[in-house]
Amino acid sequence: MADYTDASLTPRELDHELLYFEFMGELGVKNASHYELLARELVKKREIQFEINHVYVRYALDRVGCSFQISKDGGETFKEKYWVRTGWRKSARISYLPLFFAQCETSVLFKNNLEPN
Amino acid sequence: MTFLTTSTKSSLSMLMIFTQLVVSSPFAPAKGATPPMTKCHIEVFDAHISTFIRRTQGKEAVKVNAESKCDKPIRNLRLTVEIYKIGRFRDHYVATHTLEIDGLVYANQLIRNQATFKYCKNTKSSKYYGIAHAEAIVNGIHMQTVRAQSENKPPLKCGT
Repeated sequence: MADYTDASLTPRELDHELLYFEFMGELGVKNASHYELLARELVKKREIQFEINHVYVRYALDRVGCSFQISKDGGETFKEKYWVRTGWRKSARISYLPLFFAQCETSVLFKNNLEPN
Repeated sequence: MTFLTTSTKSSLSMLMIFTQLVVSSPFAPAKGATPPMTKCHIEVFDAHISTFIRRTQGKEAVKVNAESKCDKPIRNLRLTVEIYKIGRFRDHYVATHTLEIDGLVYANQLIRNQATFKYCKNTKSSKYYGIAHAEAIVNGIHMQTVRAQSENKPPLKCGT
């Protein structure tokens, strides 16, 4: 079974999707060591907040997962954009979180004419 | 331009959901008495191993796509997709993503949420499905759809 998008997306949308996930992969490779440090910091502090391209973002761990939240009012309030189950083990979290960071930051950094999905 | 040619169209779990739940409006139509003011629908598709992610990153990931369309202009759309894994005793919440569009979405404009996924940890066969729901401001009223669920729950070689 494959992406339904194979059949229903326009060529432009297909290109967008490929570029989007390619960008995500490149971001993960480029920032691998930074994301690993960030993962360790997050596991230790449970919550971290910073700015990416003038957008306030927050990662927060809960019992079994991690959420990514974005603020549109300069850090006053945050809304959840992504959540993923990482498991509760520290090692499982540290191994999955770098992938999650690349996924979330792509949604902020990727620029295209189409709405980044 | 790049086309993916590796597959046939996946079976769609198409759930037509007409907007009928008025959250903040006192003018909710009585059930069965008045047709819905706005025809909106969301479709949530079957969980699958993403060919996009495999192709661009060389990784396996389970992914669920959804789309939303309304026959009237809407504002501040939030289209959420949740992925669940079927467990022995209960289903496990695996991942979620909310696509948020600030401002206007034109009538009949198709909005797709295609970024809800989780990377596989191993190749253990597991069954997944998605649930999608949306909320938006329609004619100044905050409205939301009911939750739509994938029709099929195919086994995928993806342990999470």
